[in-house]
Amino acid sequence: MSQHNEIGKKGEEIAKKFLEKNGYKIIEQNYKTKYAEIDLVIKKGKDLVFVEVRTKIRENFGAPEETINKKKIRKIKNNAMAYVATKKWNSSFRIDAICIVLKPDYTIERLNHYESI
Amino acid sequence: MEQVIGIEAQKYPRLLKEIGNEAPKKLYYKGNWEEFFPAKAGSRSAAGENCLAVVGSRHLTSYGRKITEQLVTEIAAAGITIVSGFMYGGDEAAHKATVRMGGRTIAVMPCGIDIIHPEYQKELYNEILEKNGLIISEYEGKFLPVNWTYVQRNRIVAGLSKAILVVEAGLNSGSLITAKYAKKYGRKIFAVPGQITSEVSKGTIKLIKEGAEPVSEANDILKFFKVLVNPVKRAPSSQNSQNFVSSGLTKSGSLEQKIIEQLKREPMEADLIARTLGVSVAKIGTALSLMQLKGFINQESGKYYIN
Amino acid sequence: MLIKVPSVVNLGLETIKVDVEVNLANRGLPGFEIVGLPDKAVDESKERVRAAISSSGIDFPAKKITINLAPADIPKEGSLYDLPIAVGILSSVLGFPIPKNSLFLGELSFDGSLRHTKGALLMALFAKEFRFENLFVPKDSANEAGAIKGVKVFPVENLIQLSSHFLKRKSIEPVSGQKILDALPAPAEFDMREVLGQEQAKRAMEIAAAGGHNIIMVGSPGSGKTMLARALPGILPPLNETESLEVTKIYSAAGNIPPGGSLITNRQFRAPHHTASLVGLVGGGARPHPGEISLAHRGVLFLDEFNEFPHSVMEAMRQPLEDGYLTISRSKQRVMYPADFMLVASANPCPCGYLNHPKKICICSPLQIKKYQKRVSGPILDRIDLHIAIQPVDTTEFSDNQKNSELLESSKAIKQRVVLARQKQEKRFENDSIQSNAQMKNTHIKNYCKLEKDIEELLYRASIKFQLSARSYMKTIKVARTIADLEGAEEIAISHMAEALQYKPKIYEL
Repeated sequence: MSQHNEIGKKGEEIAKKFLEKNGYKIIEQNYKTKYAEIDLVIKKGKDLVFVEVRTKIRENFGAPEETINKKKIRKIKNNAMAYVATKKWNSSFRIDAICIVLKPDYTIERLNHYESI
Repeated sequence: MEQVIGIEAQKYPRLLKEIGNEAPKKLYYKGNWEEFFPAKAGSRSAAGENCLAVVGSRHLTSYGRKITEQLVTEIAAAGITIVSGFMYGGDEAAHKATVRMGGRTIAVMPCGIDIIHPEYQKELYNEILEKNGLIISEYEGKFLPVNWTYVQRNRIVAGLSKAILVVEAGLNSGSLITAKYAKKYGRKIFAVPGQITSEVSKGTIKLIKEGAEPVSEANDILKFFKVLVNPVKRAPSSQNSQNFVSSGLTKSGSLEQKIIEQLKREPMEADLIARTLGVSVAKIGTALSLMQLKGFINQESGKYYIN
Repeated sequence: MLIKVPSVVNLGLETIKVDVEVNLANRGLPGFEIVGLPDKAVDESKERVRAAISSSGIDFPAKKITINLAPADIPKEGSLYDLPIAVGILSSVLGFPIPKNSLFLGELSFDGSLRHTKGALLMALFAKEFRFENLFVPKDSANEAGAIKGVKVFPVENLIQLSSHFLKRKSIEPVSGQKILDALPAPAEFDMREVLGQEQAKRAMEIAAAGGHNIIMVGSPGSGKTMLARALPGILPPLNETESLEVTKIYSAAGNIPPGGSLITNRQFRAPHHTASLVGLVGGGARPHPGEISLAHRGVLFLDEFNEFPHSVMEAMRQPLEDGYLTISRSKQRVMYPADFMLVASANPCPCGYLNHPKKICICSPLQIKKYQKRVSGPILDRIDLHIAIQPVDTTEFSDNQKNSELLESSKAIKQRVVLARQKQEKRFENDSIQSNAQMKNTHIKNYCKLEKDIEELLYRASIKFQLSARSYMKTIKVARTIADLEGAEEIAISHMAEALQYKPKIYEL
């Protein structure tokens, strides 16, 4: 497994723990549709949330936030709708992003949770 | 009916025939041929017998134009037929002056008889025909002019005429070629002297040096023709009706008088008059406008002339 | 948090208020977006603002920032919203309130300093009309805005300075009692005394300058047409206050006021080349901007080689020559630019240029000449009051006294007469909407150019003899009026009318 995939996996694990700690229930991990992959699908009460996790080591080459552009958001949205359609979910949903910055030793430098991007 | 005269015909111009094998075999024409060259040969009083070729530069100066008009008007009034080549510039000025005066003119075309060349002189062309003039050419139909036909045309212009008057001509100009033919055919050559600095005087000065007679008034030429056949009644000139502002010239020593004095010497621009007299150009302008309205002077391409 | 920073948008010479709404949302992914019909330059202001704030030593907030330029249906262009956007963000970061009744305008540089921005004068005028007390503009544009009295103009050097002003640490002194500097002095290239000979042409120039008449000079190459035209600015009267403001407005909108410049008080001399584009000459473009003819407003538009200008340009000039303004219509907007200029045209008499030359021979055929002269459209020639033929001057024929330019009248002396004549006209047209004799319409001519019987007779005779058209007839009266004004005469005399006839349209005899 190449390094960036490894970091991604690590990030997703961290995000999972963070979300569970905050009372979310993980429904799916790496759910694949024909468009792409949804990192996490979670639920808390009535809210169905799709989460995009971005992880980086250090911010020298830009913040993880900067890697989420409009195109990416649209893609996630399409995925989310496909998911909702297949699962016959008929309530609202939202898309969140979790941006994680790791130190080189894979310990957490910061973690931001952005709701409703 | 094709209007054409062969060289053997009785009506063929006598003078032209004299030039021998250079004479055109056929002459196409428009207009009244009999008026100029009647069948009865040797009728010395016919219009075609007393022809003066008037030629001048295509780029006639305002001086040349004025002189052409003056001389031609008087000469044509005496009954002399004015022959020229219908080119713009000198030729056109000569034809125009003749037609305006009511005189007779022959235009020799460098192209087929059915073409008007240059085309924008159509008005003048029609005027010549209306006023009993004659248009001739040695080319039939719609033959287009080429550079050698202009030269060939010049030999007819010279051949038809007893004398030739060159008003303005540069060196190597068509007018000089006509003069060369005239000399060859033994015709009299007159030339108008001009300023030696002017490009279009170089040709005429050369002619005078070679023996052409300098002309300073119409009489110089009329003396040569001697007989004044059928003097044409002079059409009323438009210039006579100009004194509409009642007051005449103001008393001597006035600005108007001084201006007249200057203009008698040579035509001048307003600037030069102001400079010479040392009077502000505003005052000169005022005087010039008034004098022009009174009809004492006239303006042409920037310069003022005495009428 | 929502912050509103007021600014303006300039559409042509019209100014509309724009609210720069800055929203820093706590929710959502950090980002920076501008909405409200921004063009490329406005959109790029994101990067400038971000860099400018960072290099001012302030952390750029990691929040979702959305900028709205309201009203959102008017297209906005240029870089002038950098300052209001930055102020909005800083106000949120540093926690200072946006002062009331203030307008902001200015372009930022990456280092946080402000650059000279176009349109400052238009904003100041707007501020005065709608009672905005304070203007924050770049330091280089402060003089321009400061020309309008009754508005406090704060010259902003950079964002740090502005922040300390708002945090009440160190305040910026507003520019006040601004001495009016001439933004664009128009020095004449030649003094009239340097032009030898050409007495009549010089006189015509004087008349043209005094009455604002259009003038055309026809003459051979090298006869001095261009020199005469270039000497013209030296005898033009200065702009009065209203005119000065009108001209500065156009230059401000076009961004032609130099940094630090204030009002334009001299009549401008514009000499576009005949290869200039139509849009460059008359104005326009997808986002309309003033062209050369508007920049020549109240000044001189010199068109050298007039017949070489394309037909489209001549046609486009008809409206401004008649009405003094130009309307540019685009699908999205329509703007009106004033273009009341004095047309100074020069032309060769024929393609080779030497028709009627005393020494050289013209090699053009009459047809060529006719075609060449026809290239100037009749309606344009009809609107030119003074026609002069220029002959080359041979100075070797001059006496020493005539050659000594010290003895000739200087531009300064001529200008004095011109200024007096203009003052007479200003007084005359106090209650009319026009400024100079050239602008007189038939009703004005009836009122101000009463002609004695004999003068009318003279003009009537002249119109027959010289075949003057009805319009030329009126033009001659206008020119006579100016000649009378130059002399200080109340009524037009015979001499004035006779001189005016000197400048009638010339027909070039072939």
